[in-house]
Amino acid sequence: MTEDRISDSELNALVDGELDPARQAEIEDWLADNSDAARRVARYRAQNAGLHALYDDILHEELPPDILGAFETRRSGVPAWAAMAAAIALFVVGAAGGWTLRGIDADAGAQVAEAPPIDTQELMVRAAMAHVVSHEDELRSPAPGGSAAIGDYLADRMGKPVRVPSLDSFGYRLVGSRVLPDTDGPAAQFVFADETGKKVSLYVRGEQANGVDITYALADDLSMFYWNDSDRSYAMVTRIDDERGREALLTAAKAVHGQLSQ
Amino acid sequence: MVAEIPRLRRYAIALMRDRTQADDLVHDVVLRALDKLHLWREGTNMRTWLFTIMHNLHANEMRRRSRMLDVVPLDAAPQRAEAAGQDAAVELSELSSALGDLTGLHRQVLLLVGLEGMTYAEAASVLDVPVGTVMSRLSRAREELRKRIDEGAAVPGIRRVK
Repeated sequence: MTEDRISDSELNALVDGELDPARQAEIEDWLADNSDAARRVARYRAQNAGLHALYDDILHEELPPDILGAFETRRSGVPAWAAMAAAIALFVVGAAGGWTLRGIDADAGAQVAEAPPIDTQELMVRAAMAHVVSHEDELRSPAPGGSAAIGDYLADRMGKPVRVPSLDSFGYRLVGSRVLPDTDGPAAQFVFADETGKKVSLYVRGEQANGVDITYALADDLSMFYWNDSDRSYAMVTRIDDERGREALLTAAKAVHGQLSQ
Repeated sequence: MVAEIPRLRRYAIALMRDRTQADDLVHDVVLRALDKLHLWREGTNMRTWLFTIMHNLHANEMRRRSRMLDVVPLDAAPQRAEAAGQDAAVELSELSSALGDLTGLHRQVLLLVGLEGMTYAEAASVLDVPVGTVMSRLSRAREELRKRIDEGAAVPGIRRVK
């Protein structure tokens, strides 16, 4: 390349990934022979890394009650969680209004149109919230006693036995679990992660309701499969951006469903 | 929307450098977003929409006070000294302090692109300015930050580790 100088705008665009690949390669070649500009680019990248080091912890903090309460104050008389669910419902992907509930028969993929009898909004909002703010630091790690120790701990807090599911065969290991307050006594959350750090969580809350098959729902960019048994309801949550991811989550949800109903 | 709140908080805290004010702002954004839900167009980027609401509310507040906030470097940034090591901690605190010295306009664009990872087009949409303005502000903000960190390093008592 024969250029003497690359503009500030292009150096910035390089840092921000805004260049097409060909131009990016040209500039990177040019930087190899222009150490002053290369140092500047390195400094800009270091600035970005520094910003993340300074502020990323905030992403994992519990949300202030005032902010969650905002969902309530707008709709007086409606419980906070219901109002939040309504807010999420309006962002449901592909829906004109209300939840997109696509029942998926665990075996045949048949559509089940009717609304499930469990309180799906409550379940999903709580599961989604717990998923979004689940940071490893706040979870009880499975070490050293393994999943048996976790089960004992949860059983102690929840007052009844809790089976600890395994997603090992899907490449997800148990990162930890915790007990969270819920309307009908404590709820449990299990968090799993794969090698890349991708997170799947399972939320378990006490609820007596009619049975529902594994059902798929979307809220924001979170995908969930939920189901229930005689005295608990369950939601498996993850971020999914494609059909393959959805199928993988369904397979995992079926496995957990099977393990828990043994 | 709930899933975006942690990002809104991160940006607000980094921008305003005061947790109480930042959480108040996020609170107002949630209220406004709930009111305006019917205006959100399905299929458009919710994150950009929420950040735009935040930007407008923040700008209104700044206009109301008719001046940019005095920068009070409170304990906005988590303490990372032990984990990051002393040298890295000094550099982070220099960065934090230099960031506070930027003008609000420069800080906004630097945070939207550098921290939030928005494209120039997204940042331009949030700030309601042309993409060219985003690029020139960003370029100036980064140079300003670089100079201030270098000057900070020259102040006696703060030793910059090469």
